[in-house]
Amino acid sequence: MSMISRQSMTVFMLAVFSIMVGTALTYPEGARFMPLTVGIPGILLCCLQIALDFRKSAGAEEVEKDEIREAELKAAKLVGHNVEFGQAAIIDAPKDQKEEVRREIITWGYFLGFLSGVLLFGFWVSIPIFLLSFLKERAGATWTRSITLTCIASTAFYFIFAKGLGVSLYTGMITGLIMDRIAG
Amino acid sequence: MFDVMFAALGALVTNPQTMGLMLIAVMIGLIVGATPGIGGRLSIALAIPFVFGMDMTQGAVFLLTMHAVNGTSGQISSIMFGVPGDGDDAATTIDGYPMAKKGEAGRALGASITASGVGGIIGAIVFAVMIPVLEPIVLAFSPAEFFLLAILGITFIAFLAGGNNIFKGMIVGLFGMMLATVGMDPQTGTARYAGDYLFLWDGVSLVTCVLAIFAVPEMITLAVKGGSIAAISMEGVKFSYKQIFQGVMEVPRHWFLALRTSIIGAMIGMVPGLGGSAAAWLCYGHAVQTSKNPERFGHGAVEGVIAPETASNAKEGGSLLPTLFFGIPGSSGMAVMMGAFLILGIQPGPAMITKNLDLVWTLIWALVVGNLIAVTFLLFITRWVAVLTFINATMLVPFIVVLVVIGAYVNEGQWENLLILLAMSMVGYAMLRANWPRAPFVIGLVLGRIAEESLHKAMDLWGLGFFTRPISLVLIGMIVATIIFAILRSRKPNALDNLQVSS
Repeated sequence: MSMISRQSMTVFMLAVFSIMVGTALTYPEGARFMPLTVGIPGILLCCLQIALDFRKSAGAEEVEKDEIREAELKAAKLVGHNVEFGQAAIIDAPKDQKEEVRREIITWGYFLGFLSGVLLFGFWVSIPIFLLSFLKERAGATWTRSITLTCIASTAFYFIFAKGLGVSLYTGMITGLIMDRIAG
Repeated sequence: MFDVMFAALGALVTNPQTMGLMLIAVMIGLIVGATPGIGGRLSIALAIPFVFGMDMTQGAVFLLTMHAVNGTSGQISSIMFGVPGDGDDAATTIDGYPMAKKGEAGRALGASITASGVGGIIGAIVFAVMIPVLEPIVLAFSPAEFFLLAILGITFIAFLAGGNNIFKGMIVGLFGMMLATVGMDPQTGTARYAGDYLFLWDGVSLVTCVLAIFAVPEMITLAVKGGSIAAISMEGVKFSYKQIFQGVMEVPRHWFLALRTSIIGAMIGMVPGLGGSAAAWLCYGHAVQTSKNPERFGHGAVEGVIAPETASNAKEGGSLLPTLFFGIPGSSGMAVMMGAFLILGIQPGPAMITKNLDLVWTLIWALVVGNLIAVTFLLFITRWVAVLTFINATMLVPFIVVLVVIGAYVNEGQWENLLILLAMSMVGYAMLRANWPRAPFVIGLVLGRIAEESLHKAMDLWGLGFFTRPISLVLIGMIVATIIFAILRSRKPNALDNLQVSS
């Protein structure tokens, strides 16, 4: 993560605390006590963190941790000789930073699309469409596998939640309107 | 106490529904533990939607059993393919993988599975033994101390995030506490930060936030970065049941080591903030130091498999203690578990000893019985569970996302929660990418309401003088000491850091 991004998170937190503390000042005494008790130290800590982030920026670039390599080094210290773990192949790893950003946008698009689908058309319409499109397009499964898995999973979700647990899932704004029209 | 203890066991094992749920929890826990890309914390968050409508005890037993057996199957890929799933498993890999390379994979798996089960059971026993010791301490606490305990809880869990990240951890914890103030103020009836949005008057949904902060960011990362998978063919690591049995017998052969490392693991679990893998690494080091032939370690010594496995599973029993009695989760997994307990109507705190001791004993027995079932199952089905390591984790993403969205909705049956899910998922993803700890957020959110109630009660009783009560002063001292220690640790890494792999 770049330096700018690291500070962005702190600045975001500072903004949240500041807005919430500012809003709390408009509340009656009893209601603002806790938000102020929590929010003011939050603001102070954010300021401290921003100072620390700036101090770090003057130092060396932070290297991303390799947990497995770290574990190998610790193990070597304990047993007194080199230790090598096995290798895990990453399936479908992004080639470069550009590819990673593109995938991030696409994956968020899928998530946002699914949520919008649920809100507009409900769970039972959106689940199979989301599963099929993700499995086929993003996970790279074949049509046969995607359709089979979608059918099995959608049926399983229906029987577990609607029949088994008796949960009434959201039907969606548009589907709800259509259902109301049909019902007269 | 003994009548409550055995009544709880009787109620657990004679209830076919509860036992059936435990069996399901064990199977899910073992499968999830062996599947790449899904950690124990995530599995609890994902299981939350399924416990709606369940009886409080059955729901808690289901979740705890699932969590407790997660680690038992986690070491399969470490031993067979030398690919540790997490920090706990890394310690097992040091000797487990060389054993597999020497053709002793079955022996290593038999020893690790049995050690894991034994550790889980001894961890539960250590927890049980500590109850009478802790009872007077827990009961001496007043609202003043519970407010300070909430702050201490966040400090500890922020400490868990690592020495360099303590301020970030505290900011995130306070952010959680701040969000806990959203909704109707219990004192004045003011709708804080809710405006005209009625769905916010009851506060921000805990389940939605837990799913958004933990599950969605992990799934998006998995979809973006791709799933890891063992690159070695299973053909090279064949083993027989005879080998597994030989491995099982290694645990009674090294019973004193298993006992010691289990107790150490449970004790480490009781200290919030020590991190998930500290127990496994410390106990591996202990096994090396106390061995008459330390040169065998790293080349396939079975003690090197037994020690970390007993410790890492025993710590689950230990970490349940601060979670249940003080409301301070012993680990980030327990933080999510605590959130789930609250959803089920279980309020951690002194009432667990005075009013819900039967539930406490049921949970202890659930750890014991769950581990026994898991070990028995796993010894027979290891060969097939190992196949899960080859699953392309990216394929799991859409199914988990569907579960997450259903979970966020069924919690309160309000579509507005899906908007909160989206907003908080963005925050959670930003935290993950910026390497900010996320566990303190859940603790803050959980403890926020408790802290506010306690603070108001304490202020009514003693005014600002509650800060000068003896136990309050001790707690304030602990908060200050934790922060100072963390600052010092961030300047100069100590031995503990050397033994911790990021959890």
